[in-house]
Parts: sequence; structure tokens; C-alpha cells
Amino acid sequence: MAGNKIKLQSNDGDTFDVDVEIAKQSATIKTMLEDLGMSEEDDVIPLPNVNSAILKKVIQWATHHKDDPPPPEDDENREKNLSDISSWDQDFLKVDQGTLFELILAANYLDIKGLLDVTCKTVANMIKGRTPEEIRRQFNIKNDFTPQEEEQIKKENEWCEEK
Amino acid sequence: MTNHIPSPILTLPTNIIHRILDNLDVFAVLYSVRNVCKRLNTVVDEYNRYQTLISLDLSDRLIGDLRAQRLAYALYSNTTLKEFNLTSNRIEVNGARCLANILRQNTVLTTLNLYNNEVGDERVQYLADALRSNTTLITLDLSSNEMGDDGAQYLARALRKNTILTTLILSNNLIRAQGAGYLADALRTNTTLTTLDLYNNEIKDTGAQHLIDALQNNTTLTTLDVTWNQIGSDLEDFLDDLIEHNQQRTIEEC
Repeated sequence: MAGNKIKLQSNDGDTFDVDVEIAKQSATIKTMLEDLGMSEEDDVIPLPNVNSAILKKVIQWATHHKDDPPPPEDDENREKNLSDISSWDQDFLKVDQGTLFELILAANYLDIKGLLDVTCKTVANMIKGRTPEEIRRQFNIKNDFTPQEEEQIKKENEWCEEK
Repeated sequence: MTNHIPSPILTLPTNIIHRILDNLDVFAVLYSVRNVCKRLNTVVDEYNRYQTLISLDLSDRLIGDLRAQRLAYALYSNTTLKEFNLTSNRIEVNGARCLANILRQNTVLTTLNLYNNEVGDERVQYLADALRSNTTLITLDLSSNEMGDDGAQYLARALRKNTILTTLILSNNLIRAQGAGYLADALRTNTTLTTLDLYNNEIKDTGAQHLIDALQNNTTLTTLDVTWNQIGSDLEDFLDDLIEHNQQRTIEEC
């Protein structure tokens, strides 16, 4: 088993040799390998939704977390703890926002629950405690309410304004 | 120039943004995500935890007056919330005004708990004015809000018009005989209020007598708490008898 490798191909054509056990943290790849019998060393798994830079990051994350126990199942009632991001993950996720959101999309596409959890948690931390105006600044979001809607907002709030 | 680049977060599919929101409590979703932009409002509208938001308990969160105002604004168009608990949050003028605004518009809220805030006499006026025309709120808890006779007068005026509120909790305030008199006058015509809690105020014997007089003409009030009001035990007993009479009557009518 040990040392078995597969090739992952990004959408810009680069291929990456990855240990099967590391690649299998992606449920999407695991399913491909098991259901489609893609286990030959020569096989290349194309990942048309992931570019090289992001795939490199994903492999780096999966390599560091290869011995992690499987993440717990989602439980809607479970109180989520925003502070339990490991210092390695915190450093790993010190990236620009474009990269962070691409990592989220890649984790979602590849179905890597641990990576999806930690990236979503990171974004949630960026939201927590901020006002809508601060959120706009934080994420470069344009206020797209029309003047009429702004007027409505003002009207709705006229009772709230200080004397 | 930056306006032409779509924000990366808005390129995420809705289900992934929902997954991000799963990490936040409902307060954060309302306070931070609501009213940022149209897309995020739609995302929140479609969010399961928002769609099923029936009860919101924000007690002891030290939200403060201005944040309560923002929160109330976020809830302005909400159509699910029935129970809103804002116990101990230092709510003053802005929060009270915005909550009043909700009471005017919202058609589902049945319980508003403002225990241990700083609403006070002057600001309870906003809530009381809104109560006059509100048709859903059943329980209002304004205990421990530094309210005196003026506050009681505003609420009494509301009770003359309001036909839905059944429980009014005013314990641990500063209501004296005069305030009890206003409330008593309202009880002469109000036929919906079943519970009035005046525990630990200062209505004294005179206030108790006002309530006794009013209860001769009121058959709906079935719970009245006037303990710790420096009332003589004979008057307190008399009030108990009148309330018990109303209770018996209610049982017989059922």
C-alpha cells in the first residue's frame, strides 16, 4: 500500500503525484478510485474545476492532515466553536481572499470535509461582530440597494433615530 | 474601480455561504449579514435557520442600545419570529424606539421580554404607543426597567386601546399609587389582560385601593401580583379575593 501514488491533473494541465492515501481525503477522488477502478499508476485523474495554484495548496493541506481522524458528521444542533482552528491551519490560510474562496470551492468540489470546515470557519470569523458597513469593507461588497430602497430603509428607521 | 470587481464571497454558491453561516449564531447572521447587499439578503432569506427562526434568546448578551437598534432593523421584515428575549441588554432609547417600530409592523411577534434593561419612563412611551395598534403581542415583560408612574400612564393608555395583550409584567419598577391608579383605570375597560405583575413596586395602600375599585368592574384579570408593595394585609387579602372571584368565574365560563 505505502507509496502508491496517483496523478492529479489541474485545469491548466499540470500533473501532481500524490500518495493515494492522501488523495483519498477527497471523497470525490476516493469515489472515482473505488467506483471506477482507477488505481493504475498510469491513470491521471483530471480535476477540471481546480487550477494548479489551488491544487498545490489543497495537496499541501491534505499532506499535513493525512493522519487526522475522520472529521465528525455534521450536526445541526452542535454548537460550532470558531476558535478551534489549529495554528498550522491559521498560518496555512493566511492568503488573499480570492485564494481563500477558491480553496472553499475546491474543498467543496473535491469533497474534503476537514478543509471545507476550516475555510468556512475562517470566513465566519471574518464576519462575526462586524456591522453591515464593516462587512462591505471587509469583503469589498458594493452597497447595491437602490435609492428607493435606501429611502425605504430610512423610512423604516425614522422612529429609531435620535431626537 | 474596485466596484467593477465582484466580491469573491459573492461568487460562492448559496449553499456554501449557508455553510459559512452555520458557524455563526443567529444574532451574528442578523446583525452582520442582513442588509449588506441584495444578494446576501436573498441568501439569508433562503437560509434554513432564518426561515425557521421562531424564538430568539439574546438574554445577557450585553448587546447595548445601538446594537439592539441594528438588530431590530434586521428583524424589520422578518415574518417568523414569535418570541424575542432581550433580557439584560442595556436597551435604552434607540433600542426601545426600534422595537416599537417592529411592534407596529411585525404581525407574528407574541412575546417580547425586556426584563432588566434601561427603558425607563420616557422611552416606554414608544413601546406603549406601538402597543395601541399592535394585534399580536400577548406577553410584554418590562420588569426591572426603572419605570415609574409616567411609564405606567403610557402603558395604561395603551391598555385602553389594545385588545390582544394578556400578560404585562412590571415587577421591580418604581410604580407608586398614582401609577397603579392609571393602570386600574385601564382595567375598568380592558377585557383581555389576564395577568398583571406589579411585584416589588411602591403602590402602597392607596394604589391597592385603586385596583380594588377597578376590579369591581373587571372580570378578566385572573392573576395579580402586588407582593412587596407595602400594602396592608387586609387590602392584599381583599385583592386576592377579587382575583379568586375572577378565576372562579373564568372556570365556570369554560
